[in-house]
Amino acid sequence: MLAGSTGKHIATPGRLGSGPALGPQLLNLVGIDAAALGGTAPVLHGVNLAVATGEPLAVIGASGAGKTTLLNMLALMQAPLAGSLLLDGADPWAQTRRDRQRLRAGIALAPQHPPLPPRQRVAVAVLAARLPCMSLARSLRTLWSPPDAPLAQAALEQLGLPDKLWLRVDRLSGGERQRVGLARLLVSDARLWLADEPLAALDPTRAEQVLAVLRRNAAERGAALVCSLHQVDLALKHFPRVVALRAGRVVFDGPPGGLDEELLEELYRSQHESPPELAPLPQPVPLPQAMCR
Amino acid sequence: MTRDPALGGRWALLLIALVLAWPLLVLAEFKPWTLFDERSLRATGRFLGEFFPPRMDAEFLALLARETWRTVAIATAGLTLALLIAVPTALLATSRLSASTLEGRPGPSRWLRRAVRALLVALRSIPELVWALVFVRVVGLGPTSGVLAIAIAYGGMLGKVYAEILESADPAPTQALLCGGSGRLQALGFGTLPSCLPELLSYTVYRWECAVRSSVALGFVGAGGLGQLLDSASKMFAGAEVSAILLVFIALVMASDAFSRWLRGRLA
Repeated sequence: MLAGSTGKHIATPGRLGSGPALGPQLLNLVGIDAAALGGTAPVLHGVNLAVATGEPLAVIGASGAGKTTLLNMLALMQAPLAGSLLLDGADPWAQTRRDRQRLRAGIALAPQHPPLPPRQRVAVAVLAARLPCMSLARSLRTLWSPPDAPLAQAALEQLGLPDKLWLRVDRLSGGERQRVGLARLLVSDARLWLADEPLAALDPTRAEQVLAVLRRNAAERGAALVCSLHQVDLALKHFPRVVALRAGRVVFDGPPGGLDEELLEELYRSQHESPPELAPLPQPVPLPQAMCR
Repeated sequence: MTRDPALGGRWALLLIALVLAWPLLVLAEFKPWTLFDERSLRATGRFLGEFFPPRMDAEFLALLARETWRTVAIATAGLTLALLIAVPTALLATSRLSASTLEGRPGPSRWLRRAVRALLVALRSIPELVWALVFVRVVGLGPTSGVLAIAIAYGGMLGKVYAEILESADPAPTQALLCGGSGRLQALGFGTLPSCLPELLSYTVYRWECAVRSSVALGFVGAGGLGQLLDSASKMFAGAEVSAILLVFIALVMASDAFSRWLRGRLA
């Protein structure tokens, strides 16, 4: 059983000393239980996680392990069911809604399916990430014709989309849309970047490039980067710290070197040990000859 | 195992609808066959016969043009005032922009939304004809009472439908922006409006068309425009004038339809 072996995989806080110099603590989660958005049944169980200012980390785990729920909770989309979540040493859920909304301006989340209005132009869709630091007048001007278009163009160029600025979002392919969603992170003013499966719609070469761009920009801006990934090899290669989830629990937290084959296999082993016996598909009733003409 | 779980409910609903419909039809004295007995057919034929040819002399056309313009003005002014009621109330009534729905806990703002919805119900449940009768007493005969009647009744309708259109759009873009810390009006402009704008505009144009038509009914109670002309023409049994006025209505509705189609084409 994994639960018994949990303790040996979780690195002690001393781990922080081994990596590059990190800033003060940004986030601290202790014993967090959390439900998926809109749900009440806990998906995360007793999660402990500390993230330092400017720290990059990857979250890995099988589908349904709770990666998205974890990111949504870090984005302050939903309050935890139990446990304590501290952002800059203070509990956001103990503050007023207005203060919480101000805190959210410091967090940028790129969901797996980028929430972009199909009819909007790419430039406006990207710059929407800057709304928290825009006055109402400037946002109206942006709707009319975005004055910060060069900023959006720079972000798009880095992500390999140099000629999409004035296209409508619904003219883009799935992979292009996903990169537009990530361009939102690059232009935002946030100091915590959350990317949920940022590579899901990208081909392997592109995925490497995009991950490098995210890492470099986050480092330059001093933003912490929490990235949930399906591609374990990329997570191990690009991130100095990996957090592994299984069935809503943190089963590993530390530098990628500490992850062994055995644990990885256990992470992704399906809940059923062997697939259930499948009955053959029933044959469709053949149509009378006359109806097929 | 593969039995459709919704099937039973669907049959039950259909059955209930049929059972309810029967007494309603009896109550409404729904007897379509009386339309086709000989006496009705003859009376209809005589009335329609007088329609041709429509009256087209210069003097009447000048009068028609002036009253048409007045009707368009009543409908447009009424609708503009209605927008002043509808836009703020729709923003207050829609749950889409509420940060409390985002966080999954209903806050005190839902009471405000319910109050605004109740106000909209009150505004639109009183027919514009009744509002016009009230305003004719207050401001006297003439277009002003028509404009005010349309403004109030249509403000209620537009506010309700705007709020529902805003709620029917994909919530993800708006919620993502709200969750990213932007303000409600910003989230509306960048997340909701891009997908709702064509529908909002075409509904508004359709309502303008309805306002043109309802100004007829308002004309009957003395609120001016084509309606008043139609009232006096039908009282004098001038079928030729009635048909000319009806042709103008058809033209106005066709124009608004073409405009709406053009607008949707531009924004699609």
